[in-house]
Amino acid sequence: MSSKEKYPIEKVSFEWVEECNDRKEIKKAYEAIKDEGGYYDLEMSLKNKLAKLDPSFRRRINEKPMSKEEKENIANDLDAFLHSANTDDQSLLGKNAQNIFENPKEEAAKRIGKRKQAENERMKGNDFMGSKEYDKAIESYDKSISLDANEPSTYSNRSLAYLKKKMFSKAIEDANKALELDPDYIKAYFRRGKAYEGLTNFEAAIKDYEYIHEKEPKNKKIKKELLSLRSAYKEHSDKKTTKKFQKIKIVEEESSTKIEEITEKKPAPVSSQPKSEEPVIQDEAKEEKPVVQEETKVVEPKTEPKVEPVVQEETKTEPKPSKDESKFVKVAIEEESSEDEEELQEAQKSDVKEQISKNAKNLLATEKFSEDFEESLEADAKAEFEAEQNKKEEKPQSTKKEQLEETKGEEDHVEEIKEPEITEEEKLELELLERIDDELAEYKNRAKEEHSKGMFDIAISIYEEALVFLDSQESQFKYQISALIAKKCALWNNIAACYKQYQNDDKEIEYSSLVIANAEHLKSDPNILYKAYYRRGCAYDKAEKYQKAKIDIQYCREKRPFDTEISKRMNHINEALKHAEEEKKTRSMMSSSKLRSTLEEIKTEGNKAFSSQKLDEAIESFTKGIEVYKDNQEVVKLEKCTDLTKIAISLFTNRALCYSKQRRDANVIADTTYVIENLSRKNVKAYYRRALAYKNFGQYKDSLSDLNKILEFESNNKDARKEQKVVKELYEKELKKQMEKQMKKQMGEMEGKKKKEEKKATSKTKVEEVKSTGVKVKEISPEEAQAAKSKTSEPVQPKKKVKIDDEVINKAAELASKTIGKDKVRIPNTTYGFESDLNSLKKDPENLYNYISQIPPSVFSKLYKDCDINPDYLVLILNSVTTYEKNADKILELLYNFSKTSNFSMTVMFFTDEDRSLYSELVTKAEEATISSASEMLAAVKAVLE
Amino acid sequence: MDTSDAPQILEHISHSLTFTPFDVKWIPCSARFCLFGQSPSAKGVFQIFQLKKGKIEMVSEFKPEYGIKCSTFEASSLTDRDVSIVDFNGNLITYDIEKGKEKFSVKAHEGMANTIHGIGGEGPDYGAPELVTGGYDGCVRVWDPRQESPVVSLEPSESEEIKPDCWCVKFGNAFNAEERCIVAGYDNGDVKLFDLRMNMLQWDTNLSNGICGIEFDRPNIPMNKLVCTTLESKFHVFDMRTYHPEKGYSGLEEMAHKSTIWGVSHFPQNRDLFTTLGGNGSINLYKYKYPTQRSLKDLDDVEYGVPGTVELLNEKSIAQQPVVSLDWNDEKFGLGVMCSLDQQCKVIICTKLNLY
Repeated sequence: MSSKEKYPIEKVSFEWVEECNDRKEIKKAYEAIKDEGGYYDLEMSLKNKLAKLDPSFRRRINEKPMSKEEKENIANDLDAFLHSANTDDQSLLGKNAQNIFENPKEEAAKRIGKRKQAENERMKGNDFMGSKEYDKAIESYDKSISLDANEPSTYSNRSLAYLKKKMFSKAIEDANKALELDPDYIKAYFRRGKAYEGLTNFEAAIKDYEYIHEKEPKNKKIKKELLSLRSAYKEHSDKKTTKKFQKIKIVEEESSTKIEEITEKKPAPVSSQPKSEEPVIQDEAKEEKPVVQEETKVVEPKTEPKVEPVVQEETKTEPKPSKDESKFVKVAIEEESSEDEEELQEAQKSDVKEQISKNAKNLLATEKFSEDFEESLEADAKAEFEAEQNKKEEKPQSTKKEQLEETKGEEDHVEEIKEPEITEEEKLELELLERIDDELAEYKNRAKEEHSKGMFDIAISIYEEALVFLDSQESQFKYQISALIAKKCALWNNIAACYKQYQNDDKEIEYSSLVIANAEHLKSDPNILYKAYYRRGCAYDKAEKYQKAKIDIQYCREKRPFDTEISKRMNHINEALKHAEEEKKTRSMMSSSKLRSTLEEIKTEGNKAFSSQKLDEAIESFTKGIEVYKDNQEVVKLEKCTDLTKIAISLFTNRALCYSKQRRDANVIADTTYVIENLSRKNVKAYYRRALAYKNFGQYKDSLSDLNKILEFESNNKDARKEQKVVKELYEKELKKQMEKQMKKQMGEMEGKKKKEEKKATSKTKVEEVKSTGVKVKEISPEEAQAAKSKTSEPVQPKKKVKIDDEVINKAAELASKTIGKDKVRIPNTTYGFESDLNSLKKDPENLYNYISQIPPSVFSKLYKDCDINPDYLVLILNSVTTYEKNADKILELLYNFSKTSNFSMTVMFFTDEDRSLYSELVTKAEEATISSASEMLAAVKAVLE
Repeated sequence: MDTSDAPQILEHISHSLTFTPFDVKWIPCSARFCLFGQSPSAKGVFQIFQLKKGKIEMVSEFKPEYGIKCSTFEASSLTDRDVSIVDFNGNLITYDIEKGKEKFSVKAHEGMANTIHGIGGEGPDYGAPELVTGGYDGCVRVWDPRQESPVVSLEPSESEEIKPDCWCVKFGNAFNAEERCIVAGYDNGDVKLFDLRMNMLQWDTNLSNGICGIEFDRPNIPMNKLVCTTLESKFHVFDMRTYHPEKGYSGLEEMAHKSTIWGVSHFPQNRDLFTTLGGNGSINLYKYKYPTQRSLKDLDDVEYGVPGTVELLNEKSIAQQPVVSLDWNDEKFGLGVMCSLDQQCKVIICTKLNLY
């Protein structure tokens, strides 16, 4: 610093300070004045000015004197630390023994060490949070908790990590743990609130925030959060009702599909073996019973009046396609508990509560039914069974005349199917199916519990577990495979429903599609299929894929043409479709003027963001603009709006600038290349930025060619010229390095060979080379040790590298001359290019001469206008000219042009005698020249020698 | 952030010394610290102080033969809490701090030894205890604290005319029982990273000025950041996460203090906060900010690291002469002890760090 020129403090005055707004300038002046000392007022005014311009500086200098409270806090803190540290210290010295039987020192060390390690891991976790490596952070927190499970902050921090990973239910769990340990932990409340918010459980989130607000009424952040959350809650309240409805639907689906399965299979088993299916159903019914009851509990509080109308629709949709089912339900209930017809009708009207309780009863009924069935099985008389079955079927018929017709049809069906015989194998399979059902029911119970708590991701994982379980069983089935797949579909459906809660449309669609793909197995259970279609339709709708949504919803409509919910959806989708089409039209119709204004708007937006240093935002808006431009490229092309392309170019180049600020050089190159290749071949900005990006990547050659292009367009572009020089130097260095590397490699190989031979002769050398190395080195083979050793000592001797240079250059020259030598017509544009050519031709004087002679002599004076020609190169040229050139005119011209180069007389002055004589020899040759201005030129050439 | 949120560096206790201090270290799990140096009669000084309410009290003093340059507690367990030091004569000595008795002693370097660092004291999870020393003879040697001969020795080649002087060395990357590396800084500006598991030089670079201080942000995690402080008022921060086969590790350079930066000290509680020790007697508090993306791909699809930025949070002029050593307390965030060449030892407190 001090070696650089001193800051001219003479110019700093109060007026100057007033006027100057350059932060760096003021900072320099401030530091200079401060160093100088003795100008207190001026220093203060500079300081204040700097504080105005630089906010981070302001924070530093405006140190308020500590308040009494703060001081006390610090003192108390320190006292507490002193106390705890001293007790630790004493116990580590073995003075506060707690257990006389153990070594007090070691025991204390163990205890304190464990605590310290737990702390350490927690801090590591915090560090990882800072660098946004959440997985690692969770890992560290896990470790910390395993060492010390009673530290609330670890849980709270892990909760934050889960929150960042969007694993909300785990975040809630951890926050709860933290609160268990420390009920006043405000941060944990906040994190739990955030997690609830993530789960769209706004009520719980608001509750948490309100608690914090109560505790810390001055906390502005919480106030804000609360306000925004409340408004969000209001906005979502409409959605919420539908969500509640969704919840019920899922719960219902569980129970109703089960019932449907039972009821359907009973009277008219679609699959072939009615007999053997019975036990399965029976079991299912038993399993389901308590679940359904539980469900009713869950649903009850949530189906308050608000929800009712929605539910009505739901139930309305339900009975229609499965008319006979519901009727059968009625029948069954009648049989069991002889309920009133009126009540039944009321139930049909769908009060959800009753509907579900009825379902439960229904189940009871079916249970009884199947029990009877089992009896009949035990009897094992086919005829009897038939009779029984018929009786059962007839019973309801007798009680309810209206249903006679429907059930009759089914009856026929039943009779038809009863014929096929059941093999042993199938029986076994069915038993297995039964067992699987048991397991499944357990999974479902667990999942439902989580679902009702709002822990949808856990529910999903349980369902997935169940799926894995089913998959593992699949291989054992031959005949009942569709039953198994139907079960899978039900699970998929439930998973999709869970994802709906997360508003994860993609997943919802994925799972619904899975169900639909297995439609052939769902003939027995069209309801599942219907639901999958409906769900997928809604999800597509939400994801704004209206075409696909339309197809799905249309399917639903075919199935249930009177469902108002579906027709509403349909209308909505149609409208959206129309809207989208219109938009598309207007978009494609967007006139050039409109396009111009929008693009310009976007551009100014981006520029604004850029000037306020918000690079990401700027990039976003530029990208938006570029997208708009690309969408409307045809319009631009058609109307040939040059001004539009100009805007587009600036969009691209500006985005490139943003990228370059963020050092995303690959993106810079992509953008600028697009501009150069597609929009404008003469955009200097694009070339310049690309050159810089290439430079950063170390592709100096490309960078140079770009810079040269710029100079072609604008020969007096200062920036480009400067940059060109820098890049050139870098390129030269790079080339040299490469050569060195190559050389080193070769040398290294040679040396390696030598050393290997030596090694073979005696291992003593190792001892000499690796002086007093210990265990570790000894373990490895001598060659490796050698390599390690030589590597470590390498950079210590950088002077060696210089020696190699000449050799390297010669070697490289030889290599290069083979390739470049043939390239005859080459007129160098830059000194660098010329010199590198010379280098490559060094070993090949004939080609060198050919190369020089094809260059018009005036080029040399141009090339070396600003920089001195290296005497080595000059001698090289002169040498080749003396040996090959016979034409005096040409020699003269050449010499004359050289004499015009910068500081030529100086260069000649430093010639060795040999070189000097070479030059004068050439001059005498040139005297024979016969060109018009020969005498003048000769005078100039000779003047150098004097 | 409010203006009042900047952390402040407060001078809590100041204590004048009668010798030149070179190093100061907290004794783990205590409110005591050890101060090492050289007396005017060229003898060693080793004092232990107890921090009490508003003052410090010397509790014991030992007089070793040679002046002490550097010390470390990190290779000893909590049961022992032994300190290992290197002295002006090139010896590596481990002391029992309660009795002042030598437990282990070895001639580690020819001429003066400059620096020492330890690792492995926290238990078997992070490998065996080891010490590393660097000296005037340009050697870097790794020691097992129970063995008389070094485990590994990195030496300048014999042919070297001017042997570089190793000024600083630190362990790092010790995130499990096997992995471990050392990084050494030399007076000619060389920085070398040596992988102890592979037994090979992993990376080296030259920062053109002598390296006075070097430190990983945390030794027992996979290498994350490395700070090197140099002569001529510059320091470098390297992102050690991504290694590019040609570019190596990428880093940033920052000017500070307008004089030699004698050292760097990270907070054990937050690896992204660190302090630099200025030759002008000031300490600067910095925060490292990670870039949005820590690594990017070049045109050949090879990843290279992207350095972040450092923000100067505060600076405080605290001594008349260079600050040579500063140690932050492991248990108390923001409590530090430092010593400077104007024969001062100070306990300092840094406030509001938990906000960063």
